[in-house]
Amino acid sequence: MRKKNKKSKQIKLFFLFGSILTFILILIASTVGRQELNGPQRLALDLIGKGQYVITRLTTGVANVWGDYIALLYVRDDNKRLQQELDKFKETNIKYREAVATNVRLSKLLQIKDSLPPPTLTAQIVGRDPSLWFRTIIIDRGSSEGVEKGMPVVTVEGVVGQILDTSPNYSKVLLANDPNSAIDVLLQKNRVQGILKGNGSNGFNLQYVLKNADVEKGDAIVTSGLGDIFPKGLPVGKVSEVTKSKRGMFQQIEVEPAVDFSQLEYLIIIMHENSLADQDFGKQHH
Amino acid sequence: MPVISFFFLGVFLLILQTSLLAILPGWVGRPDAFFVLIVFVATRLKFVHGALLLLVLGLIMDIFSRIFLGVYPITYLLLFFLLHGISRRLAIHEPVHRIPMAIASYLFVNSLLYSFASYLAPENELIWNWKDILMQILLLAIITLPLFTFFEAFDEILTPKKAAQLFLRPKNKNTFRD
Repeated sequence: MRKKNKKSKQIKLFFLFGSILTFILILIASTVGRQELNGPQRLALDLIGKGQYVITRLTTGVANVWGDYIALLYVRDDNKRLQQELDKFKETNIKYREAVATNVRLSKLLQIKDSLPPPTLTAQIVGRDPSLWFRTIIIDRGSSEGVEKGMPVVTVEGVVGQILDTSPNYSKVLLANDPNSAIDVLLQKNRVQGILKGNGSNGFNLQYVLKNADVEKGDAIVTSGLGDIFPKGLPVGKVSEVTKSKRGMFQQIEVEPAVDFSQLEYLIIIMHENSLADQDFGKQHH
Repeated sequence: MPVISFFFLGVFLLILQTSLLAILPGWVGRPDAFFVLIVFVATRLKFVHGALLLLVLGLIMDIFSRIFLGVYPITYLLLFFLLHGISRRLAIHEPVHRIPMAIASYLFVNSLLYSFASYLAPENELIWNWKDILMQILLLAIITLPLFTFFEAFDEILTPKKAAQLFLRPKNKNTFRD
């Protein structure tokens, strides 16, 4: 009797494990080749996912708190360091910008120097006239470098003025927009001559141009080369307004300067051929 | 001593005026601190000291700004005689009077410069530019009082008597109580 009971128990266990194994095999066989999860798989994923989510959140939270705390210990130093770096880079950036701007200016000066009759001398403005009535500037070149009264001063854009006075190391330049300045000029298109006088502010008046001369707004004006002060053909400005009054022989012509007198920085002095600079120039070439 | 110190201060202001302030954009304006010093010297310094100082400062101004030599020394000396004479008769030492005095002096000096320049070179037409002049007057109105205060403090420090008064004041003014 006992033996029969034992056998039936074994058979029952065998069937139970056999059934479970078959179920698993069927499950595996049915899953192979599919891309979507079935119901139980989704359920399992959902449950496991929840757990993962909770654990991850907890871990991240702890890690963030720890990280923030640790970071806080160094943030002041970092901030200080970064601020210093930023200041340094800003300073460097300004220096680079200034260097680029200077480079552009000097390149232009070099271009015009090549086109001017030698010798020439580059100068920098060190002072400006404080009065309302006169337009003069002080430059950092003087008689020790061969600068003499009357020498023309120009920039890339055009005529600036002429040397009024010199000391051994500095010179005073009478700007072309001073009322006391007079330059012999001509209209580029038809070679009509006139005298260009400064109007005391930021402009010129072209005088002694007859009424029958063809002058229009926008006409370019260049130096005539007469008087042996300015070389011929240097740009001076453009006609900005022409008025023909009933009285008088001449037209009233206003000229917009080619040079912005408020933005002057580096200038070129065109030296005389027998000046000291020329002698040095000669020495260098012999 | 004050003459020499004010001379150096004048030269410093002139350098500042012609270099640093000259590169400021036009619309900002270029306050004429040097001119305020001229007015201060003309009203506060002794006759010989003031005249000598303004003559020298005028000669230096001629270097920085001139077409015709001698215009500035003459103008400054005329301003000096005028202000010095007026200051003996009128109470222009009061702070209230300083601004109109500086403005009137500025107009006087510029009128003289304009007249001299027009007389010396009649062929070169000068334009009386009210816009620039009014701008300068406005700036003068702003800077006159602070600069006068500064110059007065400078003068007090330089003058031994005044400095002594300034630093060694009696502790108790009521001497009858002691």
